[in-house]
Amino acid sequence: MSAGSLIRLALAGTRTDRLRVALTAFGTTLAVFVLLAAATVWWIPPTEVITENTIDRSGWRYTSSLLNETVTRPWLAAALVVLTIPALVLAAQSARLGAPARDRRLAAIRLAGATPGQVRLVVAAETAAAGLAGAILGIVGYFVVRRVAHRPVLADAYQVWRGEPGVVPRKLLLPLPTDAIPPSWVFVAAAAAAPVLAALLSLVALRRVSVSPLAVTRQVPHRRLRWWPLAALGAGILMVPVHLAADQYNIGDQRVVLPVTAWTAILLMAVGLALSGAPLGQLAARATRRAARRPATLLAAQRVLADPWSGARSLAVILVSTGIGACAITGLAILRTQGAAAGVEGGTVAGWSTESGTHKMGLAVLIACLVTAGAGLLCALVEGTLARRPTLVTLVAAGTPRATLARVTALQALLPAAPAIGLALVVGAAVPRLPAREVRMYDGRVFAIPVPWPDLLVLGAGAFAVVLLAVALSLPALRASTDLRELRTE
Amino acid sequence: MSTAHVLLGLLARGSRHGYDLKREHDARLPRARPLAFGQVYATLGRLVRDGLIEEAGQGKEGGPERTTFALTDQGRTELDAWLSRAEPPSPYVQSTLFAKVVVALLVADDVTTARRYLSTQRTAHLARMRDLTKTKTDAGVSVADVVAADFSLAHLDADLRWMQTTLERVGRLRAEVRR
Amino acid sequence: MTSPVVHLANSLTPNGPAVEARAVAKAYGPTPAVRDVSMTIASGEIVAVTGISGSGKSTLLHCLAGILTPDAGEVVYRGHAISALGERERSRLRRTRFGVLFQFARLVAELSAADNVALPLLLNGERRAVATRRAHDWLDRLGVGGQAPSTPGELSGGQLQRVALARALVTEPDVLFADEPTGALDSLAGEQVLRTIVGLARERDMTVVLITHDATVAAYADRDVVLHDGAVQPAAAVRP
Repeated sequence: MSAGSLIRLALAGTRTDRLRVALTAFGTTLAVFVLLAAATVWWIPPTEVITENTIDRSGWRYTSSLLNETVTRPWLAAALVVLTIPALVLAAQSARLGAPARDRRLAAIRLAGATPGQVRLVVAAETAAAGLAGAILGIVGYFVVRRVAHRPVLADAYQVWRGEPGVVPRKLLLPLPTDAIPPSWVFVAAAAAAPVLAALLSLVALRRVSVSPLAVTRQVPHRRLRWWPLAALGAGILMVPVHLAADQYNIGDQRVVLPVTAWTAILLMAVGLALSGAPLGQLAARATRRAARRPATLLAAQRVLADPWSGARSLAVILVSTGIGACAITGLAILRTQGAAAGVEGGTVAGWSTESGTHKMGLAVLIACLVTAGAGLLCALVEGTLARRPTLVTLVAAGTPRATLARVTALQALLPAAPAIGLALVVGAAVPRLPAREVRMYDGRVFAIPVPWPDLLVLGAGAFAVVLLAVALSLPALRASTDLRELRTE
Repeated sequence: MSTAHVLLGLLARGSRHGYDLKREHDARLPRARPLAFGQVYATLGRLVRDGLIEEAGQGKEGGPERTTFALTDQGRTELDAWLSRAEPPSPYVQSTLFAKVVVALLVADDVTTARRYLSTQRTAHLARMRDLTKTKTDAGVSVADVVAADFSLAHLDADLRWMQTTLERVGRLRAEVRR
Repeated sequence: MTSPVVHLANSLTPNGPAVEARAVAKAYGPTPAVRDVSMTIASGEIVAVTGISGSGKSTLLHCLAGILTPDAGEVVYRGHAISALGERERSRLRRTRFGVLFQFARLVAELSAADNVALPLLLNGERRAVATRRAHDWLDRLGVGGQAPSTPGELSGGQLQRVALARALVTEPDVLFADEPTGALDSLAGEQVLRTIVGLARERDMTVVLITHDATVAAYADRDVVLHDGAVQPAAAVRP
């Protein structure tokens, strides 16, 4: 097969195929952009001169102390790298769009005599092209944002350091590190890595059946319940008192035991929470199936039971974001209580900054995660609808109202999402409170740490809204899939 | 196999010797059993006796192969009647179907006669198939009856398929037949 | 506020023709699929619509069953023009008065056979227990009662089609529309399905409109209508 026909085969396809390519490219764009942002933060020229006794802060030139403090920058860069995960999830989820039709097309190519290797090449070529386009767009976008966001502001408006002696503030500050730039090899690496990663991803996602000449799949009626995410979550939560006990009672080599227990707890909780959507969805579905009175509920419950992992990756991002958000909200409540106890309003408490610049950045990151995850969920829902097109059209032809089918889509997304988001909120709000539920001062005063209900509810509502918005945006695909004129082509 | 009617059809194009009639019959209906001369002359004799054809001229000597025969008006009427009615559908009617289509194309100026015949025959076939299917679904019918009915149905279905395709091809067939 | 379909139900003429097409035309883009078709299907009649593929049979069926609205002409069900109704009313009509059967069963893969059959009843507001019981009754009657808890992926072609037939009949429809119901089946399985349809039609005085390109299937009907290139071929008179 020549390169020309390979490219032509890779580019052939329907509207769905083009949508898939576009979304994969978009996901890659986001991922590359975020990676470049992380690299920029990493390569910010030094802002402080740290000696044994003092820290010379005359190099501070940003509005946010997260960027100014040498200690926090690596963490910020790491956080940005983490942000690539939702973007990659979006790219991965969108790679499944239109998969049945694409698999049939591949099977046809196989029947015409192509080898499995050639079929894989076609798929890899399509995704690599999308990845490369996305990477280039990401780089271009990076430079555009860099130019646009370069807006110095006067220092007096920002009093980021209070009561620090010997500080000579600059006159002009930058909101974003638009004066820093990573070395050129970073750009080259991003542009090269993106297509390679995208191609590898698509090949991994390509099931064996896709390269066989007969693209036949059999449905499995019931998946067995996989409890292990909830078990992992439980184990992680139990690790927290273990960590606290090790800290308090000085058990073992503190330099090893403390980080190990801490990270084990965090990882177990994160993974467990992320994947709790499937078992919780199955539980909810089983309960509702028994009590289902309306056909939409029955259909949704059965669908979740038959495939509890659909959209799980995007839901995982939503859940982890919600969990971390809840942790952050509770953490802030703790800090504020500690600050109130110490008589300090805002500012820096125990080395953790609580001013609004950090808040805004954290909030922005959270929203970005949720929105990207919502896009991934939308892809999963659309893919499910498109894959079911023959059955859906037949149902509508036999008299099922489209409104019922829309309700099924909504319920199918909410059955796992609702309990899981609730769980994420509860876990995120409870875990920071495990060490102590109040602040005890040396003079005997006790300050109870309040549960920040309003903020938590807003967070939960926000996560919910993302799910519902994804459902709402998937409805046009439902309408298109149930167009009765498609009956005759079956 | 209605040899008599085929001969009538062959004479509709013009008078012929007995010998030419036999040759043309075999040429146009290749799958049928070739006619024996004796059968041809016996049929011709019967047709003359019934007034459907007449001797139109004498060859040098007597003898049917040299006699020229022509179609009478009565013969023409009988031929048209044969072309417009359906054969009673039963398993072994196939070759007559083909003969009728060929003759219809020979006789008429266009394909209408042939087409109309095919439609008529199709309706008769379907009616018979409906009856056979009803007997299959009757209460108390024996398996032997069902099997026999299936046999007829399968052959009738084969006829119908042939008629369907021939309806599509009849234009081109006509061009060939008229050469 | 009663829906138009309720008005419809109250004013339907029980006698007289069940379904009529009056100068129905339907095109897909520039290609006309059905041109100026008029036909009358009497109540309780079994009619076969035959023709080669591409002759417009399926499109005509979809117009008659209220699945598609014709571009021209009207479709009349028991005296009421259904082609003028909105999608929701037609959907309800398809659910309550019509039964539709396709060549490929296309049942919901995640539901059991019994749940698939019960679905139309649930959509009409029937209680779950009643709907399930009636579904089981119909499956038993069609000889697939043992397959009630299986999902479609576990059934053979003949069983699938019988389950689909049960789903079409569970609402006790007035008219059954079947589009190549035996197309995907071998001759014995197909014969079984056809016998069942004809038997039930006679028993319940149900009207049946059957699409097929197979004459042995059309032979199960009382009469056949031939479509060619979107138009009805006039039936040739059978002269003795």
